[in-house]
Amino acid sequence: MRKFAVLLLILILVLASVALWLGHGDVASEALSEKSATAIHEVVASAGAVYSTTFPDVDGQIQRLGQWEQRLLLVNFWATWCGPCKEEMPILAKLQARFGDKNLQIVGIAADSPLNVANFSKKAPVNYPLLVDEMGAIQFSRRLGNRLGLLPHTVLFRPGGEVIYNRLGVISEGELSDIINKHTPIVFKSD
Amino acid sequence: MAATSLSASVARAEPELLQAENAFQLSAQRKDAKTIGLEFKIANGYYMYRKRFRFSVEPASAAKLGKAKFSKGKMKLDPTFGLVETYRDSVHILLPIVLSSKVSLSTNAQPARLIVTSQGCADAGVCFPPVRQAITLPPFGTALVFPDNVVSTGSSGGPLTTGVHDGSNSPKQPPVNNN
Repeated sequence: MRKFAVLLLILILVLASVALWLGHGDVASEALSEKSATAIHEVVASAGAVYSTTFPDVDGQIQRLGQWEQRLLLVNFWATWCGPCKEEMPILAKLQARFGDKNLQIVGIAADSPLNVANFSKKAPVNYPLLVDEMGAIQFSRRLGNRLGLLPHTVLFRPGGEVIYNRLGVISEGELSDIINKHTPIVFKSD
Repeated sequence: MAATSLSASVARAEPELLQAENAFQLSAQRKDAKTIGLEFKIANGYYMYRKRFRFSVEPASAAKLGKAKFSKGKMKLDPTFGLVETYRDSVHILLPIVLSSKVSLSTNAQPARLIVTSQGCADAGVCFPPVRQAITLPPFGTALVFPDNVVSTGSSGGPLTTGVHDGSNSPKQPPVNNN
């Protein structure tokens, strides 16, 4: 009987050790997950701050985002060194062509040098304005929830400044088309 | 004017991403009296661009850098720029450096630093902004030995945290090319 009790005690100790080890594993997993970060965070820029923001275009002319305040404004942060950014630019151009007369205005803001963007524009022109600010673009993108400063980053503002779409990574044409459709006026064509 | 707002429904569920300094871990080693060996360990699912590496010294008068030699990467077709060289798992760099005697004469001078700028992307479909990391260089006349630390001095747009890496146990390096 006493031998059985000793064996039982050893079994309990072994099980407790295993449980402790497994528990330690959980702690390690938690520590690892702290190093990673979910991409989109809270937008800290007010609509007023967004519309008063200015960036130079490829020609060096200062452009104020507020000039598109009454439009459905889609801001796309990108760079010529960002492969995924360039992949989605034809999609953005298609959306601008399709919804441009329904109040959509796409604006690209490049975290890049004016020279790189100018050279890129010659090779692959787009049908929407490209603004350029190597340092400022990422800073502005961070204020719109992109804490890690990743590219591409796309934000859609309803007229007046409410954010209705905020996406890191390559956009989905179907998803964005649906959202734009919901927020663009229906145009009745007369015969 | 209405303030911008971001409800939970606006932001789609995003994959978790590593911070840049964890995705691309830099360590430095002495290779010989005039060469620094740099290694980036690249996390699974991430890659770096060969042409996006930059090296400089602060202050600029502290040392002269030679032409860096890189391990061989993989060629990838970029729709705009044609073939570009990229790295997965790791990249090894040999950087010739000649420390200047002028700077070490000033005892109050800040230690010279090698600034390494790099840039990479994740397979999740996003790219990190360029990251600047600093390695403190030893004074002229002393052995080219590095403390086991690399400090991220920030990316374009915001500061990053400090990373500590032990460069003393790095695996044997593959051959490098002269591109």
